Amino acid sequence: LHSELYDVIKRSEAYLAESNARLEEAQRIAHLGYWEWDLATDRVTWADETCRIYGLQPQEHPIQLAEMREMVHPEDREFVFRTAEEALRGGVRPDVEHRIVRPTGEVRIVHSQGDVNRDASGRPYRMFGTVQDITERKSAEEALQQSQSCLAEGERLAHMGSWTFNPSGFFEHWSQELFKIYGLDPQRGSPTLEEYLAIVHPADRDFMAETIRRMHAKRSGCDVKKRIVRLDGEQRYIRCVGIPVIEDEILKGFLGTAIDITEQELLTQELERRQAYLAEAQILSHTGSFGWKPDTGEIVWSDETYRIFEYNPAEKLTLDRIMERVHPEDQHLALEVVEQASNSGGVVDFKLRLLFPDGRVKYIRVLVRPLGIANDDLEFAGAVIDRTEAHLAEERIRQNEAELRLLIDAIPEQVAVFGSDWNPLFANRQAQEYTGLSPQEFRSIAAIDNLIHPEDLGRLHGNRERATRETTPVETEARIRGKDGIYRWFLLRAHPLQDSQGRVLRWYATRTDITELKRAEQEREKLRQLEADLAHTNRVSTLGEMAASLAHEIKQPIAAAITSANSCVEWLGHEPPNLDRARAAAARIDKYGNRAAEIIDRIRSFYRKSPPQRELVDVNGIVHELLTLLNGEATRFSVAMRTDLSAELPKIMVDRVQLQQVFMNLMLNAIEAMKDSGGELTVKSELQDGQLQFSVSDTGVGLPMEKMDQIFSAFFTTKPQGSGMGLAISRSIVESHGGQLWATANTEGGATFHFTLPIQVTESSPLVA
Amino acid sequence: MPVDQTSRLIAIIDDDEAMQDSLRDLMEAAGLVARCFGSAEEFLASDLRDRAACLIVDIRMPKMSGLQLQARLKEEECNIPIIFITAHGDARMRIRAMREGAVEFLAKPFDHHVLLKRVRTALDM
Repeated sequence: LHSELYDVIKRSEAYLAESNARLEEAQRIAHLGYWEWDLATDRVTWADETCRIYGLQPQEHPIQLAEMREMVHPEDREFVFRTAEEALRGGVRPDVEHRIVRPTGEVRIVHSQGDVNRDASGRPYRMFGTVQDITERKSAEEALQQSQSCLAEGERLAHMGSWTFNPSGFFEHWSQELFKIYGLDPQRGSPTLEEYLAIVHPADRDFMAETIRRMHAKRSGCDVKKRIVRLDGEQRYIRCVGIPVIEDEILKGFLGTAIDITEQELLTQELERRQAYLAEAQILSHTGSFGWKPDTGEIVWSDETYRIFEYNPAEKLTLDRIMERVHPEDQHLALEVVEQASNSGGVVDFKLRLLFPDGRVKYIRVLVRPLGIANDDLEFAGAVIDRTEAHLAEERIRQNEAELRLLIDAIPEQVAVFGSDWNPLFANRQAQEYTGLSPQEFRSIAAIDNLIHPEDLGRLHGNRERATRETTPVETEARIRGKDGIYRWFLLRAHPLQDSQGRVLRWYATRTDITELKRAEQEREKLRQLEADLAHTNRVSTLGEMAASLAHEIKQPIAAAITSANSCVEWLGHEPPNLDRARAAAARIDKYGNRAAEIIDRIRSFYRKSPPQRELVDVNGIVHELLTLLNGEATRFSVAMRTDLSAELPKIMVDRVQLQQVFMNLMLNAIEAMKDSGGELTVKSELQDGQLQFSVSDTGVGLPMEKMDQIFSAFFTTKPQGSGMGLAISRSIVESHGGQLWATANTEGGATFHFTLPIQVTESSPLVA
Repeated sequence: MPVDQTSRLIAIIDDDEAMQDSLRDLMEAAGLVARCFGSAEEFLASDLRDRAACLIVDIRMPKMSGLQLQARLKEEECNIPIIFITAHGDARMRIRAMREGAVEFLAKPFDHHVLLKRVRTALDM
């Protein structure tokens, strides 16, 4: 038994030793030491590992509490022992971290935990516990903390958040910055997948859901750009980069970053927009841009430059390819310009032509500026402007100008341009040829004025002054001396060209030769004289033609007056004298006497004489003369004059003046008949039955049928001022030429006077029948 | 025995009103009775055509002239004495008129004594 017991004890001892050894080993591996504090003796027993933690050799014997107290870091000492005392008084179990100071001075951080043994009465008698060296863990924790804060700071600075995503479909982790980017509250934790997708911009939502699905299905990463709409309504651009985490073929999850690229994105968009604007502007202005590095041969063209040169934008450009397009006649110019640009350092501006294979020509303007100054770093930048349209427009303008100048030279007027102060600038060919002044001389206003007739110069100057003062078109007449030394009459007109402020820039002047007009005016004056003469002739011939009837007309009232005088005497001779009848008779004497006087006055106004003479006359010509003569009168009464003249009329021997008188009388009568209503006067001539027949028709009041037989007698008149001689004279004249004159009423109203003239008038018959 | 001249009518035929008026007045001043006609046609259409005792007639009138009237009356065998007064009568005309039986042919202006004498003579016939 003893031996058995011994064995048991031995085995137990061995077991215990083994257990101790194992415990020691465990403590050592875990840096965990055991301690025990005997409250009665204040002795402390340490395990070996505890000694090692405190920097001491393992020892068998206990140490005094005071010794141990010294080994606690001074700053933590009070706190550590107060905690122990509180535990002894029945407080919480001590569980503290504190620093210790090893004999070498090294400071370690330890984690101490303890517990209290109490006797049956509850009095504590022992405290025991463990101590663990956590220095490494602490520093690792600190390092981790520091790196985490660095990471957070980095994320904040980079606007980059990080995340991890569990394969079962939820975010495990969102970094602070990620919450900030998404505008979410970190306190509420990572969003669910649904919450996350709700923040994604509606337009990108399906795409993001699909991306996540694909990442799971293919265990792939992602690098996508999406928009989110934050809860505050702000839209942001997010670039999201994720990678799958795979361990042992098993998908553990995804981790990744999210970067707020809103600013870059907006900048990019802005840049793209500006580039688009620039490209558009280049297209619109037909202006391309280019850069060229002669050393490397690198050529950069804008799209518009490619378009102007009509090369494919994909083509690699060389100087030779460019020169292919340049018009052969301009190639030397292009090369010259490159040289000039390199040397001058300034902007070189030149024009040249491009020639395309199909024969089209483009006119371009090239502006080049060298950018690098050093020869080895020479670079050119410039612009190419397609000015074909402008060039063609200029060509057209030049052509128009040339045509206009031709036209100005071709018109039969003198044209001149003056400056605002009447300094001459231009004169057309007519002006030069008429005056004989050279273009040089035409630049001198004195030379021009020298040709103006002295009598007209003052008026011309006055006109110019008025035009300048009032800025108004002016015209005047003046005589200008031609190179032949002869003055001719001109109508001078000047029109101002004004700017938007109304200031005169130019005077455009024309000189129209009105010499012929003046002459015609004189002719008209002569015709007027002729008309007067005709009327005069009318009166003159009246007396001779109408002598007999005139005598009768005068005798009539005279005879009546004498008879009345006789009866007056008779009445007075009565016994007693009949004074009433005598007075009545005397009144009649007065009346008849006056009537006789009136007739004599009228005849007196006719009195004049001119000898008739016959000549070969074109009667149609006379009609035309009278149309001219009576035009003013006809117009005054709204009468249109029309002719229907036979071209076959032979000339006949007539008294020209008398025949004019006939036409004038008939036509004046016709006008007179239409003076209240207006109408149409028609003069007709034809060759009929071997004689000339003429008619003058009106659309006027017509003839009074009951007076048809009176109209040709002298003094018959419907006119207040008429003499009543016209038709009588006319008939006399016609008859004296062997013809007849008669009147008919028109069916549509008005009257027609007809007369005939024989072609052969053998002898001059007496005017009075 | 002279006839009562005041009961015998004188017809004055002249297209000129002034002549008509002054001749009638002259007749009346001489104590005679006269009626005026503006034309021969007017006279022929009147009641005096058959009972006028004397005619004073103008030669030139618009339609029927004085001489034509004389011829007409002669055709109708009407022998009323006719005195012609004209502004431009010539000798040929005078001879013709007188030959045809006119009492007198006076040129204007005329001597009214002669006219009255002839009228009275005619009225006595």
